[in-house]
Amino acid sequence: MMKKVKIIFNHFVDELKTDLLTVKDELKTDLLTLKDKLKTSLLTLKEEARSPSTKNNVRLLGVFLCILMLVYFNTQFIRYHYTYQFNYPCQYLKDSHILITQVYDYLKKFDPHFNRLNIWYQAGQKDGVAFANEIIAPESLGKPRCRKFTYGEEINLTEIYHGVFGSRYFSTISGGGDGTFTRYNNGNLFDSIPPGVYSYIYHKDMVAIFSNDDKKHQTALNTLKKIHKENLTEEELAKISLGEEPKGSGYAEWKYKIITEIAEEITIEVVDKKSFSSGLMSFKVTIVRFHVPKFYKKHKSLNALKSGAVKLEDL
Amino acid sequence: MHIKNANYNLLILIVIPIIFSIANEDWLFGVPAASDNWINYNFFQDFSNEFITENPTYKFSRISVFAVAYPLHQIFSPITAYYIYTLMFFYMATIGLYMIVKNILNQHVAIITAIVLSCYKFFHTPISFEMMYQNYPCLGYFMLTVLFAVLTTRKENYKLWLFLSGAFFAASLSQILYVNFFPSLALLYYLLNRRYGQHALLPSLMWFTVGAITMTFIFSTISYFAQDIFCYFCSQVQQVFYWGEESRYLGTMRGGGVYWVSVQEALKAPHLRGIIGAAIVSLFAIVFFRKKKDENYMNSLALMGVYLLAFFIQLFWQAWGQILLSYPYMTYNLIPIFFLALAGIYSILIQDLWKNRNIHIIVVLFTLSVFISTQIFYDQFQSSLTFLFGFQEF
Repeated sequence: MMKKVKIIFNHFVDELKTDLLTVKDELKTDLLTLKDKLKTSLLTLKEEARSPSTKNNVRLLGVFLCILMLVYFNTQFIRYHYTYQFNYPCQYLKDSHILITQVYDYLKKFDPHFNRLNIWYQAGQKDGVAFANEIIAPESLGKPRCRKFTYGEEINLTEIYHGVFGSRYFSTISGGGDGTFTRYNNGNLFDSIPPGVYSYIYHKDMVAIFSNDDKKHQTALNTLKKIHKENLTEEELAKISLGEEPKGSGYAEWKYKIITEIAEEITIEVVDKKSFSSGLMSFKVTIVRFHVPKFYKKHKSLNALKSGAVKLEDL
Repeated sequence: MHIKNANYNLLILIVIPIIFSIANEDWLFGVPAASDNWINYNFFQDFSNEFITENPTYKFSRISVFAVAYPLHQIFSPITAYYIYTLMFFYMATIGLYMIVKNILNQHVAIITAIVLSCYKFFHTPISFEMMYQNYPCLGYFMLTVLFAVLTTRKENYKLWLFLSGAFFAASLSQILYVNFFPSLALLYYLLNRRYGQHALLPSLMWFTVGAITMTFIFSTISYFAQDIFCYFCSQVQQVFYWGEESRYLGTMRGGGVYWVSVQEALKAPHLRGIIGAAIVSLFAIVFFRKKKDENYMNSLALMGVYLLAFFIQLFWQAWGQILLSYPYMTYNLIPIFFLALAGIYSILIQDLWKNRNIHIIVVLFTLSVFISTQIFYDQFQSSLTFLFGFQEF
């Protein structure tokens, strides 16, 4: 019995072996065929890849990638501090340019060297970015950027004033020196006399007031009228004239003496008024001259005299 | 009448800024508050003004810009003069680039590269240092410097071309940072001259120097009569070439912080993405194709090599206390050489297409894409849509 089972088992094993060998052979044949096919395919692919048409396709793909990169990189660049593509046509830059050149020519008539002028200008609302905020705000995306009702009303005139300042390089933003450029905002309005104003007058004899609002011009004129000594207490005069200067120093005493001399005799005269406009943008300039004849006669050290830009008799 | 391809190409380049102006009249005007731009305007108007500044010659060292802009502003009204001034330097840069690439590679690559430059926003705006700032005109002068150096190797009368190249190089030094690109210019000349011109190097250098000295002397004389100062550039050189621990950019800014940042920080700046991308592609292209003997490949790789040299010099100065990479208006000066590298990349990409005369498809694709990417038309397009579909919220 056991012998019979053994024979059957051996027969089964033999058959299994034969089957496995067959499968192995078949697999081997298949793999070899596959390998050959793959090899042939790769060779064909290699040949195709070397053909001019494939090369062209690959290069065309490269060109497309280049175009994509170009578009991407070009949209990354920022113009000034605003995103170029969204608000660029809304800045009315041509009109700004025209206005700056007009004002430049105008100021030159009064002071070719800009060493007699002190500019007071009204800064734009909300730190001077009133219209730009609206344009770059996320909620404005998908909406028209150049809304006509804001055109000319919320335009950033402060930027134009800076252009005027820039074009008169030989001025400094504040603190006297060769020219002054005083920004009025953040609570320091035209109806308050800024610290150091007498120092400006010591070096200058004119103020140019920039604003697009007639009331502001009048307020600024009223402010200037206040600087006569009869309108100020001793404390106010000291505060306005000395600014940050420490009291008691020799320089402070000398400065206070000079300023008192100015405040005692100063009068103002509106020399000229002019409106400027381009497109729908506009603003006005008022030129005011100070008269302190005794002071000027006594102290011949004005910058204007130093530079030879004006003669004493002109003053 | 038969018009050659090259003439069509020039026509395309001339028309591009006109199309921009029709689409958006503001495109070439600067932001008013960028005061450096307007400081130069002052000299456009008052060339010989007696300035009451501590250091007037620093600003007057931009004399090559003023010497062109001043007569324009005397002859024409401010806006007309501005158009002539800006478009003149625009064409000087774009047509200059076209001529350079045409002479080194071919006119197909040249027109693609020049169109891309025409529509490149970074070229339009030196970002708060606008078109009246010296960056913009000096880019045009430097482009002519390279053009004349290239023509030296390709045309007769090499002495004249080298003289002109030197003269315009001196003019481009109103933006003193262009001095950094002299090694790249010399390398380009050396590579092209070895292949085509085969002029002796020392006499070449001499004629270039003679041109530069002549132009400097002319500017010095003008400066002497206008401002009583002969060495108009001395003050600028002192201001710019502080480096290492003495770099003025290591000082504290008015609003706090320091101008200078490390190279690692500088390389993260968004305005450098394209510039770094081109440097990496150039590096790989040089490694992979260095053994190619084909003329087109060799010239393309030469342009990329020149760009890499310029880029590494910028990196070096950034590491030593300058701000050539971290501030866009400083990096702006790299544009001419950056576009030479782009021409090299385009040339390798399209050379077979060109042979198969499929170039027109590429030109159309590039033109469309670059026009779209400038987005000068964006608001007009959007306004039209909103008008048609009634989205306006007035």
